[in-house]
Amino acid sequence: MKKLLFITTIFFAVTGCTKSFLNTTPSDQVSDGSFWQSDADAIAGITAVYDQMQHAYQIYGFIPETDGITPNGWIWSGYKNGYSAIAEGNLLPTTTTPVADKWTQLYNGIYKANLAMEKIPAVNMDGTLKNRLLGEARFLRALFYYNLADYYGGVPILRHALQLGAPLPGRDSLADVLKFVEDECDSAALSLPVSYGGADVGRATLGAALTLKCRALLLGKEYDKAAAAAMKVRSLGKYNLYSDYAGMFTNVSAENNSEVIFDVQYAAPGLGEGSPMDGLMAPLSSFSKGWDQIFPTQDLVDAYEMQATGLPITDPASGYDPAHPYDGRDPRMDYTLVRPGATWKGIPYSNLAIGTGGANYLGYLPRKHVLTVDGFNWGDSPLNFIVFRYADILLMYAEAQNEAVGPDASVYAAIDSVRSRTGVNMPAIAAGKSQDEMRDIIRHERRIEFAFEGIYYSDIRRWGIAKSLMDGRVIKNINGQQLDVWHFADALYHWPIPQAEIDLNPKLTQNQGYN
Amino acid sequence: MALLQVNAKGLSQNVTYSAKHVSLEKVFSVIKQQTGYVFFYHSRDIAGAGQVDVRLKNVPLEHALEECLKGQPLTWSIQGNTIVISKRLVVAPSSGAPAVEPPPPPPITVHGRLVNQRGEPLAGVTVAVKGGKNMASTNENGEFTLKDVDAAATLQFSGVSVESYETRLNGRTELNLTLTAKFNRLNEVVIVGYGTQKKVNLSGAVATVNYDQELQNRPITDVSQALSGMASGISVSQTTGQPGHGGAVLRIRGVGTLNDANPLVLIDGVVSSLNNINPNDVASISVLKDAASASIYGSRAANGVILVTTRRGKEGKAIVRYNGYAGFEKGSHLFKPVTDYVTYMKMMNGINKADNPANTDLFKQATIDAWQNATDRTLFPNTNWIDALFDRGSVTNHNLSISSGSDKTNFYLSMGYQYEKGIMQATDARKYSLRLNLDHKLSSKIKVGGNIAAYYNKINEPYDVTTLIYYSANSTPGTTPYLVKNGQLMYGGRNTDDESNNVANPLQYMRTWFYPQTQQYSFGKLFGQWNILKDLVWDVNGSAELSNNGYKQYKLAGAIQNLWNFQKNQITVNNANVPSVLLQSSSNNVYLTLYSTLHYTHNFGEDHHVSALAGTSREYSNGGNFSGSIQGFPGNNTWELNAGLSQPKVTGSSSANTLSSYFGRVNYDYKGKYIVEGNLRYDGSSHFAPANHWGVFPAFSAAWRLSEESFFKNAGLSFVDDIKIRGSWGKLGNQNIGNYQFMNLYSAGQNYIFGNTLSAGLAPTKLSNPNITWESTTTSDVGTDIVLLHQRLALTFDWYDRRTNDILVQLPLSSLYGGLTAPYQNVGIVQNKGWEISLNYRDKVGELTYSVSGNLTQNTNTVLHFQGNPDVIQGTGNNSVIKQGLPIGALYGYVAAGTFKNQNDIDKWAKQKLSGSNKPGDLKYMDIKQDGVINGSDRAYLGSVIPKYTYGFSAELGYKGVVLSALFQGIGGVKRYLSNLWFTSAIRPGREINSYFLNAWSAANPNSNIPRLTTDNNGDNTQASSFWVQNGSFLRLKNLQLAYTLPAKWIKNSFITGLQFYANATNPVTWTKYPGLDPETGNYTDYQMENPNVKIFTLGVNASF
Repeated sequence: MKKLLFITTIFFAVTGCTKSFLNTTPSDQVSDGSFWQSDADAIAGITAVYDQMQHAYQIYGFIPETDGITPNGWIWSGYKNGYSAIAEGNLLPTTTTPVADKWTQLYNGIYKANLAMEKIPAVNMDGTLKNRLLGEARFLRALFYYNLADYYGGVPILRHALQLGAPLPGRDSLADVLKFVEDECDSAALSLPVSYGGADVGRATLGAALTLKCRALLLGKEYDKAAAAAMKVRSLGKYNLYSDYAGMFTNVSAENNSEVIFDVQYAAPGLGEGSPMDGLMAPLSSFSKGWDQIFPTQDLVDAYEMQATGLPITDPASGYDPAHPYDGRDPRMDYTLVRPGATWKGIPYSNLAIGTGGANYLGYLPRKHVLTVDGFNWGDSPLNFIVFRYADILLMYAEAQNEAVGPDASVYAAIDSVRSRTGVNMPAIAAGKSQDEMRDIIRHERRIEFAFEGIYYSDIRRWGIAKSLMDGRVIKNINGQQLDVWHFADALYHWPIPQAEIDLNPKLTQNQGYN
Repeated sequence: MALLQVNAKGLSQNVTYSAKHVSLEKVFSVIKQQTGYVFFYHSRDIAGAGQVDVRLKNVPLEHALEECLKGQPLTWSIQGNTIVISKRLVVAPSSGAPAVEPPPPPPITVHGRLVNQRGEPLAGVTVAVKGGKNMASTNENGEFTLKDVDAAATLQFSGVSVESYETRLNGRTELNLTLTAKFNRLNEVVIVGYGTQKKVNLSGAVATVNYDQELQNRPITDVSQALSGMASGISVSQTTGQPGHGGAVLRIRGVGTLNDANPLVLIDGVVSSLNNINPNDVASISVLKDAASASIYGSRAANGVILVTTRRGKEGKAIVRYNGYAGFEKGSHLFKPVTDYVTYMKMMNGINKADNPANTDLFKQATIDAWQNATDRTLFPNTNWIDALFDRGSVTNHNLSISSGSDKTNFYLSMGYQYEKGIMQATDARKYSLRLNLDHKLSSKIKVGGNIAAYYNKINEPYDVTTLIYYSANSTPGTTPYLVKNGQLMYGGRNTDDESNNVANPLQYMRTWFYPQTQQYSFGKLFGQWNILKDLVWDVNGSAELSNNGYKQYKLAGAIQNLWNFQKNQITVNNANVPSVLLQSSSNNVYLTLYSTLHYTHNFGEDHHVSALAGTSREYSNGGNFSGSIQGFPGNNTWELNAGLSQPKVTGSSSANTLSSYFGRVNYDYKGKYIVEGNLRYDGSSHFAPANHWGVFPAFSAAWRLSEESFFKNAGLSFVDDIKIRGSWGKLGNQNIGNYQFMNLYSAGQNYIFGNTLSAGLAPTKLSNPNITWESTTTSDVGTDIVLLHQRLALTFDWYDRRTNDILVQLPLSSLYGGLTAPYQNVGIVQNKGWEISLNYRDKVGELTYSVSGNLTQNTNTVLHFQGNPDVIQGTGNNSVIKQGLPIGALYGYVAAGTFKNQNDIDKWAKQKLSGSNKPGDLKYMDIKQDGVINGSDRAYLGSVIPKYTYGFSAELGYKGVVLSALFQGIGGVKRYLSNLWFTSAIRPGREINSYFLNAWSAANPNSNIPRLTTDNNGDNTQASSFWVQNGSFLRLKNLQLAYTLPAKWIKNSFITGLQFYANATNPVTWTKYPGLDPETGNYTDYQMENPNVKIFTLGVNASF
């Protein structure tokens, strides 16, 4: 027996295991303990926050899609899962795309920004750079909150990354969120530069923070403060209207031009940093290229004024010729969409596959965000997406000033400068407009100027006119065939809080009209 | 006699035994135990021998026999593996008186060959002349020769594995006999964790599959398929008929976790996969079902353990075996689309008009008329795309093995080749495999050996099959698959402008986008065994498993991608500018195992038998992958990365995990009557944080062999051979989650562009939970094993309760956590409770032998606790739920109550507005909450995807070398969810219509309960509901086989020693109500469709030399 015990002891001594054997670490990821040590780490952490805008369809990845649920556009019937259900008045708290997706993607950006803002202060690095990086994170976080407020109303404001098991907060009011955005923009403005050197182009600037502030104030209907914020951007003297309206959305060489205040930067091919917009919006002329998901409507086409008179086509004095409906129109029409008689990539309209047979298509194709050159794969377009541009500042100024003070000369000047851009050359607004008339003029101008830029859906809800524009709307194609009837209920001014979020956090209350 | 001497010498083995005053029978039994030789004697011959003293210390067998028979009136001879003890011939002193009897007839020489019912030669059977001394033993080919036999004698045949038999010679000199295998259930040896045990002594629940006997000749491409219907408690789902993807999904006693529920598989003691072994090399399979039998594998045994051993060489003449078969495959069930384009067009127009009367017709009357009147079906096709994609498949298999051995070295060598062409065109797979198992005795105390196995598997398929089947719905009958014109291959697009320009050509996808895969696998294991002491053995095993899997995905470029309108002879979809693309990926995995055990067996006195085991083990696994892509190839024959032109890209990653273990087992039995056993395993895993590395997994079991009690033996129940009652309890673990789950990690690749250049971004993508620890499964099992009717009938019954605690669940996480992937948390409790029974009866009537087997398992799966508020709705289409009181993955949704027949019906019904307003023909759902509104809270449990019943039964008939066998397999009480592109009421122009929906509701067919077909965005009808839940129960004739073994005399004069021909049908008949591709598919939603299971018909030959 002794022998047996001895052998057993030897056995375990020989074959036993060392402690470190069980400690394995990944070689392709960085662990918490070894990150946030250097300025490179801090920069990488902030880069990941920017990345959120680029990859999330529901933030800016495919925001022009929202034009498909305004009178501007229509979403292809085959893609009727997300947005077009909204157009038809069927927005549900349980909808995942886009309702829950947008919420999640925005909070993902907020999480990354919060994490960076918590960790960077302790990083041993250059103070100026640290300050700037923190300002960038602050701006991006505010941008995500602004989007949440725009779509959902009041949401929980999280200033720190939540720990597992921490109590979940309820909603803050819409006013509080907008106030938070405003304050954060002011705070970020203190540490953000007016512009960057070549290697940093694309980062958040002072102008971006002020523009965001202006947007938030306008959403909160604080018109005097909004006008002041817009004026502050104008007074930076850094921005002006770019001369090539069409190229601004289709040409890589026009990127980061003098009109751009803030954009989502993309690069392609083959870097994994391309934009999906071209792929989603280009015509279905080949299988692996465009998906043809949204189309401009006849309604949008009809909204373009006659260039010579500045009058709508419905006005007998406009000079509109129904026999040649596309002649003499606001040039922005052809910069924005493809219509009969036009060409795309050199292909005549008549040869483009736009579904004349199936009656599933409207007869117009979008041109903004669609590449005019070959050589890029699906989902890998190099075109930047402009979030804020100077024309927006001018028209936001006009709107805020008109609301706060009335249609003074500065309002006319701001609108006219947008209309008289080189290559657009629309006549000036006739003098003597009332505040209400001017309001309509500004709304029309925003619709035309920003068509298919993902702005109009926010605008019509902000203005409270979405219901009158959308409810009972009949969608017809170019041949006058009816494709769809839309509905809009009051509840739709805000999206519902995703049901899954309420289920997980009973403190979240649902928006009105969704119970 | 010379031959026998050689044999005896060749087989010599050493004996160690010392005792005083023991009976000869006792001595023989010791020698039998130590050498494996069987004794053959008449008890009256040795009755007079009395008691003997022996002192044998490691002496050769022959010496041992001489020693213990010294001074006895007995002699010995070795014949095959039988030692024959007989009376020593006493030569009578010669007397002057000559015999007066007449001279006997001249003696004859008898040749013969013995086979079993399967026609396999029986070696080592003793052939003796009744009442005489003359005897012989059969060789490896089952042959014997007896000289100087009285022509009127009776021959007796006996051996350990056959029923005794006698026959009168009546002058015959040639005997070819088929002997019946002896029912020897009580001596069955079962492979258990780190050892073997006699089945009668088992106290745990172990199912065994007699692989060699039951599964020979079946066209099995993966060993997992072999378990189907063969044993109780095991559910086998063959999820695909795709060549090269033959592995079936195995579940032992239900599903006990929300994570990986696959059982642990060990091949020759090393963790592996059933895919890694050539089915022809399998010797035995044991399935460890309860905690007592499995807990020696501790932290990975919670889902059950499958132990596979491979064939090894045996001493004796070399046996060369060839087994080959070939045959064809057919789809078991495929979709039936509407293939008449005129019908299709009219339906589409009708659907479109019904959606909205203002809609214009999709198809003009002129187009419909043109098709109606056309005769040229190339320009006006009625294409059946299922026929265009699927074809007849084939299968071919060759397997050659050589097994041989001497007193020192044995080996088994095998080579296999397998080819399978799938029913989907452009799919095939070939596999080459090799194995060498070697055993060598260095000395009487030290044995060493090794196993080497390797295979190379090459799979060709289009990219990718599951999507392609799903996607094949994206065309219409009006599209021509392809045409060759002036030597140019052209694929068809829409032939009329009325058709959606969205219409695709699945055949073109199949033939222009390729996905070849290769799998290289090599396994090496070395082991040594040292008998340190008489009762103590030290084993050391080390192994390395290397696998290297690679694939390419490449797509042809340019004009071949164009789709043509053949009527107009023009391109309708121009893809000429699409670049050629190649993605190449390679992944490799190394798995190192080192384990060592000490085995101690000792008998204290006659009645107390103790065996104990102690062991340690270490395992290391490291996997990595590398892939690159590039586009723009100069031609369609240069698919290597360096031939590409633009946009090169690479990615790669790797990760590792380790496991360290200590384990032990103590087994004690008293007189073979009372058996108790304890197991313990202590496992440390790198999957958890250092504080949670280690887990303890104990198990206890006890058994009582009632039939060994004297009161039972005296009760005169002679039909009872054995009754054992057993019970066990134990705790097992599961750690099958990904690596590094407890760590807070920053993922790279969240990059962005600044200044038009790439900038690296890092951020967490998941929230971590450092507190995660082992899932633990507690299993209680009570069972009985009964053998009756002289071992003809065996019955096993088990009742079990298997409860998994601390299930690692990724609980849904509020997006306020940043939308990060949820961390694992130990929160769930799941119970599997049930019983299982298996029966086997075999007998013979004259020359007809037969056997019948059956097994049935009933399992109830219940989520007992799930910390998650609310219920987690999951699955594609939100059709399943994890909810307390329901089974895992319970189907969940609205309860459909037919269709709305008219507007009045809608108005009267509860307000049902899930995604739009309703029309007649829409599904109406039950207002479960009875609040007048149909919404999310009216959803209910719709059925379980885990079968309630799993069963199998088989029968075999044998008559004079002909064997007919059939195996049935089935499941019951199971639902499947079927809703996909191929099976939907949501129609889209440019897509197939499943003819199942021809009977859908319409104004003309108002009584149908199949919802109206619509191109609308009305999602009400496609909500998860009971309408899409189908009965997934089925009964399948899994295998039917007819085999014929040639009578031995036909091949007597050839080098062939055995020859069998067989015909085999796999899955020839299935009884089911399931309308999808195959009820056996294991996936829950059928969203991505697998290549359906196939029927296989083969002819084969099995020959030995």
